[in-house]
Amino acid sequence: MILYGILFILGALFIIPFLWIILTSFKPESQIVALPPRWLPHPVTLENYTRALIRVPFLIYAKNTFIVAIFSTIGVLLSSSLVAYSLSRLNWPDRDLLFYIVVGTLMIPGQVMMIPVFVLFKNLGMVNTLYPLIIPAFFGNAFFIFLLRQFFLTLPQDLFDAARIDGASELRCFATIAMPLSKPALLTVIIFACLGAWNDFMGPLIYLSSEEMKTLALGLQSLKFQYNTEWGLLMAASSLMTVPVIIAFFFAQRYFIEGITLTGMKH
Amino acid sequence: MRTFPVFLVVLLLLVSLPGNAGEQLITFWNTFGTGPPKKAVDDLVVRFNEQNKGTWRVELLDVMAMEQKILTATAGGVAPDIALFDRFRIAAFAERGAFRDIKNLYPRMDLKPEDFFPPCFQECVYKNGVYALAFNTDVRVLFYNRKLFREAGLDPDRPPKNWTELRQYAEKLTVWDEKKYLRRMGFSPIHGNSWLYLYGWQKGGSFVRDEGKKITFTDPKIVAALQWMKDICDFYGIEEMDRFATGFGAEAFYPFLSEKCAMDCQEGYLLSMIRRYKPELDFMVAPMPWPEDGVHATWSGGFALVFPVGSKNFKGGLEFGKFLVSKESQVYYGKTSEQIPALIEAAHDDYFMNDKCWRVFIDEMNYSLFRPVSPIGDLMFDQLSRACDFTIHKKLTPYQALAQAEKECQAEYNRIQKKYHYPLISWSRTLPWLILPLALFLVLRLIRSFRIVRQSRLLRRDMVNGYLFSLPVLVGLALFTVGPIFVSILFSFCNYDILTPARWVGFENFRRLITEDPLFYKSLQNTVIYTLMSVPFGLLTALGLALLLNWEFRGRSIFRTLFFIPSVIPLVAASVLWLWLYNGEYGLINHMLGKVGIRGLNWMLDEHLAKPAIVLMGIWTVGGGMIICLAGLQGIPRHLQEAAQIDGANAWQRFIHITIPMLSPTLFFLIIMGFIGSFQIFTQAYVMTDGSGAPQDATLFYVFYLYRQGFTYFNMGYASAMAWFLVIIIAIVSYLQFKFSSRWVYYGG
Repeated sequence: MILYGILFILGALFIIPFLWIILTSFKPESQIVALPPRWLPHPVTLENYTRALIRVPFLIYAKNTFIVAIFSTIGVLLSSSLVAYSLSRLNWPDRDLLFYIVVGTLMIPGQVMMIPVFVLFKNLGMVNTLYPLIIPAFFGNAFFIFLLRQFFLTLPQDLFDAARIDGASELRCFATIAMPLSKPALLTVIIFACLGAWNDFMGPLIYLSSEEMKTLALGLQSLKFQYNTEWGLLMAASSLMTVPVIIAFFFAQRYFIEGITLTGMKH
Repeated sequence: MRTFPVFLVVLLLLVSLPGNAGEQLITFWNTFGTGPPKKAVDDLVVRFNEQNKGTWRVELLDVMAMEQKILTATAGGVAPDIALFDRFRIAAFAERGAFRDIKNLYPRMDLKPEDFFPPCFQECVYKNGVYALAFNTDVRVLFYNRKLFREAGLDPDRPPKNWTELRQYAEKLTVWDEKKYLRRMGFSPIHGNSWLYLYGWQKGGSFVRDEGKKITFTDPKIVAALQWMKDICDFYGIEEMDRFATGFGAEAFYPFLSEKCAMDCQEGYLLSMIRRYKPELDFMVAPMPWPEDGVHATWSGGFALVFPVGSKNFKGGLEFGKFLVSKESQVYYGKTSEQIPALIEAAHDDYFMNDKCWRVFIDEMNYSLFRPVSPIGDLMFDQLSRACDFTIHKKLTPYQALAQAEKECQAEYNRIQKKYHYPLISWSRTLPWLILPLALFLVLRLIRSFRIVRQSRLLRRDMVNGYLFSLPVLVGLALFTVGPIFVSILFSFCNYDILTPARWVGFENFRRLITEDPLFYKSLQNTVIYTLMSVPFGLLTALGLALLLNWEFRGRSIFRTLFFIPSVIPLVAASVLWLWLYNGEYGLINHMLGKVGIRGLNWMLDEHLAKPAIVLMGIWTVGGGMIICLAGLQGIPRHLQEAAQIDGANAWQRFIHITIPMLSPTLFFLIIMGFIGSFQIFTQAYVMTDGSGAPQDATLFYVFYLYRQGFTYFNMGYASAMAWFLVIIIAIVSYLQFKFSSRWVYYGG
């Protein structure tokens, strides 16, 4: 029972700010800046939401965001797991060197590579399309490579040895042993990759300029200005952008648990 | 199902095809986001398109962060034909040849420089060229609340006329409550829209001389003006002033409207806000008071229409520009946007002249100055703001603060002039030097690998597979990472501002970084402190939560989602939210603290609290790390725990000897990533401090400073050098972490 107590307190602390976003999104502007802070909107108003949906072509943004999220997640999952496998379960010279280089690239602030990569895509004629946001995903992502490599390292060697003795090719080992056993990690990768694409701001900011191409993150930014942030609108848009992810996570999270029980014991 | 993505891609391509042949397209970028100005611009676009149907068509695009977008667009060759641009920043871009010189085109458009207000036209002039068409303007006047005047025993028809009166009135109008909290300020020199520029000019000082070549912030008159500002702030007490100011809102909650300030220095925007939200407010405007030994002065800023170099349809852009500054359009713009048009004739339209408030504004344009037209305009503004910040918070005397700012600006200005003495880089000569060693390195490694592996068939198989499996990342590294990285290494040895060709300066950037830049060390220090706070706390929280949520109990998935939610919220929204929570007046946190009797803290405005505040927000978003810990915990074989239990180990022993070691690869990952991530903190600092790094540089983090150097001050070479320092530092620390990892990280397989 103490457990529940702690959880409730922590949970409350964590969820209150988010509740604040939701509640504020239903408040008329006059109640947002009030002293003392009001909790419940009274009256509840949908005007922030209607303004958010009308002011910005929300559905188009959502469509674009979905496209980027789905394709880049697939790309990153395939490529990163392949590379992570080679960096953990195979033994070859330069393996560790490549690993250090890959991790090293994480240390480079994105701004440094921004312009040269932009020029590259411009020469390929892909500015103002969704390609620059999707294509790099198929070449691996250092963060996920790192994560999966750490995870693959914990898999027992004997499973692989047994399979190799039986004549399985490396690809076979990868696909039928490593991947299924890594469901929790893979699901984590999927969650993070989707999330990253959903919330990505700098990428769309650089490459997308016309309305039909923009993503949600870009749309959200356009609601915040230097002097007059319209809080209600911002909160409503944030809610619209966040709630689908939460619902998706809530369900994915179930598979996450199921995945553990299905794969059974590791040994 | 498999054809769906293909269908989508095809749809996308179709949608992105250009449309409407026949009419010539004019791409126009608008920077006004919401409100009446945006509506006015939208209407004008529609009007132009109707009048020119069949010949021209303007495609309007609303653009945020206009400067950066124009920068990347011009560099990438996709610049718009015409764009609304902050006048104050034109010089910096003109210096780098980003905008077309339209000096000789004025006659062709039936325009003369005299048609525009002098400050408006002059801000578009740089080194004998004219780079824009002035579009709108603002000007600063004194707003005062007549009702509050009456209450304080002051004559509502006699606003203060000089600095002494301004001060006297301010003190009379200030109201405190019984707990010594401010309830109303008479006048604040650091809020509203005055800035040191106003007071400096009113005192008769000059910020630059010799057409901008010499920076003269230490002009005794400017020092005196800053001193005067400080004196007023001392009257209120700066801590209380800061706290009170966090309660200022925007729009309907702007302090002058909510009567938290009795007098305010503002531009026309306040007028339109009053008329929209509080038309019953009894107020009036008057010229800003100037010192007895000073000058009747104020200043203007505003926007202008620029024509980026490399645009596809310059002619069309000019047509649209001519339309936008025509008398008819300007009058329409003025009325609809509630701003002052830049065209003098339009500003003298009856709409403005018959309004008792607007009349004052238009009249003040005769005394209006403008910020120095200089390629380092942004730097000067930032440095002066910083000087004020430090002076008012009693860290430096006015003279010291201004001297420091002057030194920085002068150095930067000189650097820009010296730039042309450095040689240009010839790409065809330098790139081979980069590519050859790299290719050689690769070939040598491959040969070495083959030699090592020659003996064993098993090893050979592993090697081939190793390279094959890694192919995606090898190619990706070359294209998207290593290639650009080498190019940026090259940049770090250059002076490069994206718009003009790079020039070789050798180690100059690095030397300057180490020896002449105090902000380099400050930003590094800030980042290190932040990292040392956020990584341990974040990790402990993530681990703690994961442990709690790993137990079997009902509703576990709900709690997991609950803790994960904050990390899902877009960082921008989260930053804004927490800025709100930390608000000194309305924030939830101070409200709760108040209930337990703790006096409200100035979270984001106190240099000692700002970083912990950001750390706290970071802990709130630790859900991601929690998930990773959970995945790791799930991967610990159950039987190990059971076996230990049978052997009589208690929960704590099991934790130390089984959980932690089995979890160590995951923890290691989180430490490395946490370290790298927190070293690159940017968004939160940017959003929460409006890109300034206040208070007193406490939130000036390294990458943030890097970004500013590169994208605000155009020192891409310098920024690249900073980036490489960061890389080296992180590489060293990560290497050390990896080296020590063998001591405590245990790989179960």
